[in-house]
Amino acid sequence: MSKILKYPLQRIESISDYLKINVVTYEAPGLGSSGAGGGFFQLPQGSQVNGPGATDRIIGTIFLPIPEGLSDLNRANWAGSNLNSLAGAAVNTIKDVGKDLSLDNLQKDLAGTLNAAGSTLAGAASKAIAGLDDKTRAVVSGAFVGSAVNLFGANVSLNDLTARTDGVILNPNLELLFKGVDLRDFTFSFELTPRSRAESQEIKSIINTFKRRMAPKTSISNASGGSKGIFIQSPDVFNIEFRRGGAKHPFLFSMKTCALTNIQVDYAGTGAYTTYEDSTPVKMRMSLSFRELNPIYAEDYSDDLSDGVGF
Amino acid sequence: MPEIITLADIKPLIGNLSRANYYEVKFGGLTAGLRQYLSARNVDGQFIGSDAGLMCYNASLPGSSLAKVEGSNFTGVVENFAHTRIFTPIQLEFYCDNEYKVLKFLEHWQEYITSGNGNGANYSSPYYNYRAKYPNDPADGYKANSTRIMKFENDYKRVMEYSFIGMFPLDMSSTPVRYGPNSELTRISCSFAYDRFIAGSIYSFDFVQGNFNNLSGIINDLTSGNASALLRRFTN
Repeated sequence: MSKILKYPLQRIESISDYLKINVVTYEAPGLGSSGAGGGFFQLPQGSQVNGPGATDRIIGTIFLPIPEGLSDLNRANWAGSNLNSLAGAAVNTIKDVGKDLSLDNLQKDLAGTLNAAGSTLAGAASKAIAGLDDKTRAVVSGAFVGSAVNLFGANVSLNDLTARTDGVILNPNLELLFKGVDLRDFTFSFELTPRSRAESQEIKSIINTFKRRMAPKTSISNASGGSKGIFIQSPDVFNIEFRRGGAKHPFLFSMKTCALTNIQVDYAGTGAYTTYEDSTPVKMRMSLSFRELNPIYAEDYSDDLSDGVGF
Repeated sequence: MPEIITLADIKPLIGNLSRANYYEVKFGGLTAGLRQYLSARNVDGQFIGSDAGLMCYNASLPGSSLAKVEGSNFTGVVENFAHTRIFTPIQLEFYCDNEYKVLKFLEHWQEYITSGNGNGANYSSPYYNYRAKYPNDPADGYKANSTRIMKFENDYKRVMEYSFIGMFPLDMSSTPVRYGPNSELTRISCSFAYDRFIAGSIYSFDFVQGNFNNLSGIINDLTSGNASALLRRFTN
């Protein structure tokens, strides 16, 4: 049976909002499978938190109040990308050449295939240049002039030349393009003010649990483990959920399984070191930084808003 | 067009104003540890529960304010949104009896709060240092949970009750004593902090009767002869 820790000890009722953190044994994602189900890696969905069966791996549960300064930040990596017309034409030409240079063709007739590729390249280049008007052709020829001049260390770009001679540069066709996914970070801060001896013990256990569970383990317990000292095992991970009473919070955001990357505790929260009779500080401030193990995908969201704003 | 009102119209209202001098303060809800600490200093339970309140000659019904944030989604208009109720400390002033029980009550309650290191023989040591007692420990916490201020009138029929949760003496002013007329009384002033107050009784007895939190419960139904409301109370 997993252990339950709670702060504050009182005031978590059916009308209370609070944060529930399940401490879960980490399960390595593995290398996936290339079976009929899809790609090499299966993209983890919202319900799949650090592998199936995560609920069976719950070591303990910590209930905390809603943290101060609550916010989430979802990111998508987009960046500007250039592709001018000449480069675009070159891409198309090289794609044609690529068709000639297939592995089958090269195996059958190496010399013939290379000749054919060369012819395709020359033909495509001639076709591309022939399709240009006089002005553009003059600019393109300037590019080759620039390349020739660079042989003498001039360090002149095509745009430098065309800007000097004709007052134009190549249209870069700048466009914002998607570059990849990112992992979300969360930092939660809690004021801890023990009200009784029992609550003091609970706070001590909560801090101890976070510190212990975020630490890597030197004793390898799983099947892939080797001799002690050769490997260290991943720390435990955390399933975090905002709740209201016995249900998921109807508004706040959801999180996928997170790793705890930082814990900071200020034991002199009053501004000076002041304690209760058993040396428990009167006020502490605990700051937890989590990072999600998996990125967020559109499929993680549902149309049902009863579970809040989503991830 | 203003409403035309005669003296007869307003007489029931203006003629029944509340008098400020009818009130009662009752301290209660002190933990066993705190009561024991005070009792050892000759401040007994009877004094705490009854006499200390009677010695309070100047009290005030508690006030509170609401914290707000401003919104400016409409050009040129600032909207206000309340979000947190803020309870401000309450000031009570006491006459001091000639056994100094009021003084001891307040003085040693404050002393108790910072007596986490005990107050034995080393209490007078120059190297003594203070630690706090836990506020809400069920056995010996320093907060009191059922201190009440009751406002009533000379017919005792209606009561406006304020119940304080988590009360403790926060700021005890220095008490002036001086040579002067023999009739001058020693007066003690202390402000009390609390977590919150509730307007209306919070006793379980009143809760059962539907009279808590100033709800007009069974007693009002009986006194007003509202038979249907009374019947509903028992049939619902």
